[in-house]
Formats: sequence, C-alpha cells, structure tokens
Amino acid sequence: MKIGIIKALYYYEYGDLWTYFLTNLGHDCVFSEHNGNSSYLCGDEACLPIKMYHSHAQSLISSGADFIFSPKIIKCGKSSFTCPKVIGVNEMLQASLKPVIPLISPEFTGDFKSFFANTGLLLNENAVNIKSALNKTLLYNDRKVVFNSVSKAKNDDNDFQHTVCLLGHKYVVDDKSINMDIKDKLRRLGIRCITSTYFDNTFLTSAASRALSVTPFWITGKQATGLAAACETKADEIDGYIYLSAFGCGPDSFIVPLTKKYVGILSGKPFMEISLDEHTAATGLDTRLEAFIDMIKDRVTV
Amino acid sequence: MILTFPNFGNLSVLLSVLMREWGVPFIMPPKTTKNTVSLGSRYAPADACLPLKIILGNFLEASNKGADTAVFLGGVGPCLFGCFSQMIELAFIENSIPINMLRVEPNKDGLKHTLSLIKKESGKSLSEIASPIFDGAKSCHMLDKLENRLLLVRSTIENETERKEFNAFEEDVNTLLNNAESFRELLNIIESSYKKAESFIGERQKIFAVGIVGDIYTTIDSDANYNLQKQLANMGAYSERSMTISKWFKDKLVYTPFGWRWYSKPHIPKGIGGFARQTVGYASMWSNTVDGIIQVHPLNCMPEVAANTVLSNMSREYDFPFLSLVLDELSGTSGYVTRIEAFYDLLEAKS
Repeated sequence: MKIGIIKALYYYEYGDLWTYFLTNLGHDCVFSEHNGNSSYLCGDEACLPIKMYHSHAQSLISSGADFIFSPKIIKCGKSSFTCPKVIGVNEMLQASLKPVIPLISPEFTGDFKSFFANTGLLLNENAVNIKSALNKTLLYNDRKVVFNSVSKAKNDDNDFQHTVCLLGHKYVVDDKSINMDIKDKLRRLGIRCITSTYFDNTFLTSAASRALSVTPFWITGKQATGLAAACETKADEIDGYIYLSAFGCGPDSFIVPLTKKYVGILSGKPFMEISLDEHTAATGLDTRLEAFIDMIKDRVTV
Repeated sequence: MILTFPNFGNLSVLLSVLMREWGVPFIMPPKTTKNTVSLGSRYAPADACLPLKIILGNFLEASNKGADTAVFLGGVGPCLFGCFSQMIELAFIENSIPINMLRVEPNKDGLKHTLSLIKKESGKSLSEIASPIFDGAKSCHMLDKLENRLLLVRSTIENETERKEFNAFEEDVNTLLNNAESFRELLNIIESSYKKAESFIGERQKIFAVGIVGDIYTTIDSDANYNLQKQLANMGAYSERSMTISKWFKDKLVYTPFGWRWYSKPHIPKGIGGFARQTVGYASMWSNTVDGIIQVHPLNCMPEVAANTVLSNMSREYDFPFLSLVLDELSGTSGYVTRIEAFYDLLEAKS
C-alpha cells in the first residue's frame, strides 16, 4: 500500500524510524511537499510549524496515497511533553481540511515498542510481520551515529574558524523552508553550526537536569537547555548562540529567557534570538546574521 | 507570614472569607486595572500569555501593600500554566522583590504540607480547619448563581437612569461580599441580594442568549476580559460561561461521561491540555440553543488555538454566529467594544 508521510513537525525527530518500519512491512512511502502558503487553512494565530504541517498534509491528499501517517505525539519520555498544538494537530486537520484519505494516528508517549505495535495493528498486519519489522527498527535506532560530545561534533567539518550553537525546536532548525536554509547561509559566512542532532535525547535531558534546578517540562525545552549546558562545558570552543524560534510559540516564551539567563550568567557569550513567521524576508535574516558574525569576529580578535 | 493570592473572579471573595474564618493574616490583592497589567508585563517574559502578567501584577501590588508570601498552584504540563509558579518565582528573585512563593502542589504531599502550614499559622486544630468547607462549597455554588441572576436582571434594563441605579446596587453588593466575615454571613448577603435584584427588572422585550467559551482565566475573571458579560448585558444579550469556579470543582469531584465530554467526542476525543475540550464540548452542546458563541482567550494560548480551528469550522457546519476575541496587554477597549457591537448587530440581523 502507499502510505503518505508528512515531512513536518516530529518527522525531524523520528521520521527515519517511521519510514524504516513502514518500508520493512512492505509498504511504499510517499513524502509530502510544501506547496506555498496555507495560513488560510488553519487560522492565522497558529505558529508557522503548524501551518507547514497543514500545507504538507494538503499536498498528500492529492498524491494518491491510501493512508496518511500522522501520529499523535504526546510525550517523548517522562515529563517531556510536546506542545498542546502539536498534540491536537490531527483534530485541527480533520476540522479544516476534511481529508478524504484516512489518517493513521497511533499515540506516542515515549515507548517505541507500543507505538510501532499499534501502528502495525492499525494497518491490519499480522503479529509476526510486526515483530520482525519492530526488531529491525529498534536495531537501526541503536546503531544511529550520535556524537554526544561537542569536540567530536566540531570535527565534522574541519576548516571553519568559528562555531555557533543553533538552539531551538528540531522542526524549526532543520526545516529549510521555515528557516530559509540558515545553516547554508552560515556555512557561506565561514561558520560551523552545532545543533541538537549531534546528541541523543537521553544525554540532553540529563545534561539539562544537572545544569539547571528548574527545567521546563517540554522535550524541546530539555533539548535546548541541555544543548546549551553541553556547549558550555567546552566554552572556549563555541563563539556564540543563536536561538531560532517561531513567532507565537508558547513553550519558547519560557525556554528562551531561561536559556538566555543561563548562558549569559555562565559565559557572557553573544546570544541572538530570531523570531520566524511566514512574513520573514530573506534580506532581514541575512542582515541580522551578518551583524552577529561581525560581532563574533571582532570579539575574538580583541 | 502575610499571605496573598491572585484575583480570579469569585475565588478572591471565597478565599478572603476562608482566611478570615481560619484567622490567617492576609492581604486581598487590589482590583486588576491597566496598571496591574503593565506592572506585570514589565517583569514577565514578553511572549508569555496574559494571565501570567495579570497574576504577577496582582502579587506585586499586594507586595507593595505589605504581603510577604504569594500562594499559587504548582502544576504539570503541557499547558504553560504549569510553569507559572516557576516563572513568577524567577521574576521575584531576579528583581529582588521582597516576597516568597508558596507553591501548593496538586498531589498528596503538597496538600499535607500546606495543611500543616495552615495549622501552624492559625493555631487551630484539623477539625476547626475543615469545618468551614461545607458552607464554603455552598457559597461557591450560590455566588455563581447570584452572578447569573444579576446579569439576567441587567440584560432586561433599557433605561439609562435605571441602569445607573442598578450599577450602584451592584457596587454595594460587591462591597458587602468583599468584607464578609464568615460563610454564614456571605450566604445571607447572597440571599438578600438575590431577592432585592428583582425590584430592578426592566422592560426590554427582546433578549439574546450568548455562550462564552475559552480559556479558564480570561472567561472567569471579568477584569481580564474587559467586563465582556456586563457589556453584552447592557446591550441586551444574556450570557453564560462554559467555565465557572463551581463547575470546575464539581467536574473534579464527580466524573460524568455525559455533558460536554459527550459533545466533544467527535471533535476532540482525548484531552490535549488546557481547556480545549471544554471549549469545543460546550460550544457543540449549546449550538442549537443559543443565538451566538464568543470564544475568549489570550494571545498565544496553545490549546485555544487548536480549539479555534475546530470551532470556526463548526460554526460554518452548524450555522451559528461565532466571534473569537484575542486578549493581550496591548488590547484597547474601543477596538474591543466595536467588535462586540458588530457581533450584537449580527445577532439582531439573524433573528
């Protein structure tokens, strides 16, 4: 069967596992595309990642898939919630798009086994197939390469002079259509980026709880504060922090001041917050990045 | 230890009477005004939702009057409310404000800790602390009934002079309620005000019915939503809310799969945090019986954004007038009043 996978939100966290599992069950995976502005679909108040999700789902409806895989991500572990908009995004899709293709929405609360078992049952697979695909997926997950160390992450590209830590939700930092490919822009200015993809979630969560007495109960908050804490242990290897946030993000209103205060007190490094929405112009982003990089370069020479 | 608590509709009256019955020294926070909001916005994170700024402003104003301990609920996510006590405490510490935070955790250990603190401060035994609870619960229910009755009477008044007299009457009732010494006295005041209000009933012929749904703080606290219900009543529309203090307590004590839970099943089958399910459930439940629905929520309220999408489509499907009011600290009263008047015109045109 053809199963459509939405390339937005938590696809950037677990998408490779979903694709691997569904392919191992023998299905064809079709990926969605971003086809322009869809703010009229879900209301103007929603943040940009949610609007992207609607736009991607819209593209799958006309792609001829049999099902759309859109899991309900509630938690990624103990007291690591996602945002309520993300938990309720399927209900928003049902109300605004009224999709003619059925959605498959297993619930995820941090345990891969029950999540994938549920997915298999919703697709009417038999238990033997589900078990074998699940075991292969768990093995694939265990063997994924993560560095869990700032120095190892840095040695990824060797000939850059400065390093900047990019904080923020994975679906904002890694999605090129939301952040206008900021990593490429920084690379052209001679800057290497460190993001949370170099570390796994357990490491980041424990780093966050060791560094701060109060950690926010969202998984994205633990990732951001944990990444800042990990980078501060190798303070002389990082030259600055950029926090990419979407305008209207509820958890970010708490996480950004917390991270700013933590980084500022410990090291006094330059910290810039960039707020993104669908009206962001590329020129504005370029100007801010160039000003920030000039500040970093001047600092180092002094 | 001089306690203080935030403004939250009728809860402020109930808590102040409870403190007087227990003999615990406290300071009632001043009424929420524009100054409160701007004071809170100065020390709170800029993107945080409006209730945090109002609550912080209440605490700061009470601290100026001499309070040294702020009481607030702790919480667990995913709605931002669970983080409020931590953010408020950070704001106090960073700006060297001389007030401590007393966090009441909503679990067994938290309640035990709070009870022992109350026993120490009031010098009373456990049975003496527990005895006002029955009358307190009855007062909670009767206060909400009185509020609805006063709104209904207000919506029948057309004449300006009569309305001025009614405003004065309501001011007197509020002063009496705020200064009640015990729950018995409170219940007497409520009963006599209920009867006296009948003498003010006016002669308006046509009254509309409006349902108000949305986030718990902005629907319950009338100062946070610019006295929405009074404005509607002045124009001739009686409104009832999806969230009241007594409804919230009853829902926590007795679980029922009927009512709003039943009506929210086809739209939001399982909770997503905050009060999104209640918003959608009550709107669906009332869609046939009211003339229109207003959703009130702060800017950036995450669950209400999800509920807003569902409600806008529901209003088209079930064909009822729907208005979504978004509140933040920069809202101006005139823009607000314009929208409500336009909504009322829509109700008149549809009838």
